[in-house]
Amino acid sequence: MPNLLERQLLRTRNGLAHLAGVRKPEVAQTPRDLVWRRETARLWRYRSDDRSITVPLLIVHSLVSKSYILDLQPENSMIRYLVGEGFDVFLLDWDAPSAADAENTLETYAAGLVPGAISAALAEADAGELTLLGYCFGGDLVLLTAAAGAADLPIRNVVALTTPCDFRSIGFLADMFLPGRLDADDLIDATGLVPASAMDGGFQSIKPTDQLVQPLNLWQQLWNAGRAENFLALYGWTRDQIPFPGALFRQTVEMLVRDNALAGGELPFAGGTARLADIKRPFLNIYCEQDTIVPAASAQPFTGLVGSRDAGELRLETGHVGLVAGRYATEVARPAIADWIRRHSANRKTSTPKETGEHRHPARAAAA
Amino acid sequence: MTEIPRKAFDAVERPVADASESVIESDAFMDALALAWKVNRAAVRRFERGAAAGLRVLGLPTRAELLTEIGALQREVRELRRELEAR
Repeated sequence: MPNLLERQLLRTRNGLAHLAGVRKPEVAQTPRDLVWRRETARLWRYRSDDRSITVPLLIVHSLVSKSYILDLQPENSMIRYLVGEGFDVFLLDWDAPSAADAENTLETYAAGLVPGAISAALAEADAGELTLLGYCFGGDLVLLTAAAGAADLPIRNVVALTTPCDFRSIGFLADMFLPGRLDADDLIDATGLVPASAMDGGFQSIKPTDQLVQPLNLWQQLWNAGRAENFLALYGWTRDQIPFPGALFRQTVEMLVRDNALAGGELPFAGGTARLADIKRPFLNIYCEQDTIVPAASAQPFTGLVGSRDAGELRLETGHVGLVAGRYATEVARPAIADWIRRHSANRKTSTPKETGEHRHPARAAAA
Repeated sequence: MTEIPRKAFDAVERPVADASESVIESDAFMDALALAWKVNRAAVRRFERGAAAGLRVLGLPTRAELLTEIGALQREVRELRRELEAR
């Protein structure tokens, strides 16, 4: 390691380069093609010479953040890893919504855009069924899609990555919207959207001292250009929110937070009822012990609520971001996720006993 | 920051972080924050309404009114496109 004076000089050089925009972290570098687009939805297919796992994998990203966390940097990319493992990877992510999207509801996504993307991915891959994986709120969209279209959609497996189910266990972010506190319309602006700044403010409030800690972390790393770039890529993502459609936010507050409908296993949907018990496909619920955005207690109930006879779970010793980016993701989370999907993409089993995964998956045991 | 000052910082920061997170999760804090947010929001809305009234006198729309109009038009275009695709 360079001595103190050398490190200060390097910090000055790297800090100036960063401020001048010379060393901006390059994210989302894995080669891909935009294969379908509708409204704010974008469906990407990642290029690969080895798609040895024939069941395509469609990843549905959250609506509250940008998808490059899944493909952060070439050496730190969940998507690049999955492509390298032989998966035919599709990513459904979202452009920032505008006033035109303010009226979007859960139905817009789970009965419209996600099923549309499923059809487009299957046509593109010339496949009959796919694995549907959702990250964070994207997991809720995936589960609703699978529940509402249970009989018709060609879904082979369903995977939820740190997805909120019991909103009463989330803490501050949800509790602020309990009756008597904030109403959804207190956050919705004149264009009908929840501004990105409000989303960011909410996430920052969970760990108030981060405003001090993160600049210090950057200062410590700054002498090393590579480490500083890694830090800035990750920290930049945590502050890089997008607006949220107002109508969907009203539904979230009323149905998911106040009625806590998902924890009850069903919610009003498209004029009827979506029931998690109608999800009969193999299901993997992945959640994290150190997650402060979607605590384990919030995500865990899905495992018992779906109707799948093959419902497993992975309880990992990491946080919301550590699940998809960083050393733990590289060494534990990604291999475990890939292993489950690979096994469930092989020839179909005729029947399996209902498994909780507690005694089932070696990675879970290792992580616990 | 060198190793020792950082350790000292962490030794102070961790209990402060734990304490502040406990405060934030308390009902009293969340009630107070919600009230403060609503008061602030009401003031901002009153100001926006005043500014909008002033612009209307000049025959001008606000930025939000423009964006909302454009959004409504975009939604109509989408609806028409869907109808065309369905035929």
